Amino acid sequence: MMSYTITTVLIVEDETQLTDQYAQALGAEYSVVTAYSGAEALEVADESVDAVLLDRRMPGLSGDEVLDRLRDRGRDYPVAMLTAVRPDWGIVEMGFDDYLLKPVDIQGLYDAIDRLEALGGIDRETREYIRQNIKQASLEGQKDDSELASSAEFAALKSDVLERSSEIGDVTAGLSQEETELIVSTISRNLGPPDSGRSD
Amino acid sequence: MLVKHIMTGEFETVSRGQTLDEAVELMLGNEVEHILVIEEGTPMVMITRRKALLACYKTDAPLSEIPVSGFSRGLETNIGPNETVLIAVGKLRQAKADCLPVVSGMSVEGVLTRDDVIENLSSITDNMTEEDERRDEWTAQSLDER
Repeated sequence: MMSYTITTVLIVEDETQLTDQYAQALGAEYSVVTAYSGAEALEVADESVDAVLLDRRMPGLSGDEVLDRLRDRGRDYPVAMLTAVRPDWGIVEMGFDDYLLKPVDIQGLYDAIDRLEALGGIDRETREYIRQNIKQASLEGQKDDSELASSAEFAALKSDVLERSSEIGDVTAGLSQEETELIVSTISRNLGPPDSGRSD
Repeated sequence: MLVKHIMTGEFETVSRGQTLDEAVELMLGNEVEHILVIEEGTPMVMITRRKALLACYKTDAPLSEIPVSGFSRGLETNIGPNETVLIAVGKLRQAKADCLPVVSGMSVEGVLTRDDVIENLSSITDNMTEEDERRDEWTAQSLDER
């Protein structure tokens, strides 16, 4: 596995005050680039960027459209959606690496960058497999069993994950324990808050 | 890698009319930390070592006087055989569980334990499957309501 280091983070968020707060918080450790709209994000998202925190709901170009265009341009850096929009079936087709629901505190931002760093160094196929698992966890965390069972999008996602699983054996082989921990914590967090008590 | 590739396919069972001493005897004799309670041919409850301990603590009764029917029915926290191991580890962690019944439709196909995961995934360690916080383990009201 290649080591991936994040030095420059692009924050895309139309609420300028919030953007600046995020930038100030992350600026202590990273070089931060900000964009207050989707169009601005596409202008500044060059090869110097290592990771993106991307709002979904913005006037003009939405975060979803920005993500599509970045991927179309071959920008494969890790992206976390940072949004108040709860994940819905539409996320199945999106190319993000993590999904954060606002509000996110400063530690949450740093944790997210750590997770993106772990994901950024993983080979393309394994990373896509992990992305699909994270999407599944996100939807399971938001939808009840009957909604999941009746969703064609969710069925397609599960089918894709199943197919990829047959090609990928031990997905943690080649990952360090720290990287595996970050991926497990991403999936667990997306499944929902920990149960209040132990289930066993 | 899917749950069905690493789960333990065989599991011990007791019937709903039996008592906890019989369940514990089977668990100890077979070196497992879980047992399923069968009702009309269908597994309805999974008793774990922890649930058995909690039952002893809360009832302050001999094992032979604790009916397995006293444990709450339901296998709500479970995993499917075709789920990925990543999702399974996430569920073990979210549920703060040591094991999950592997359920397909109405039938139980096996049990997935933390040991199954740790043995089969090279970079998974014991502490990745569980949350650290256990301070409230001994304070619940009923046998197994947590």
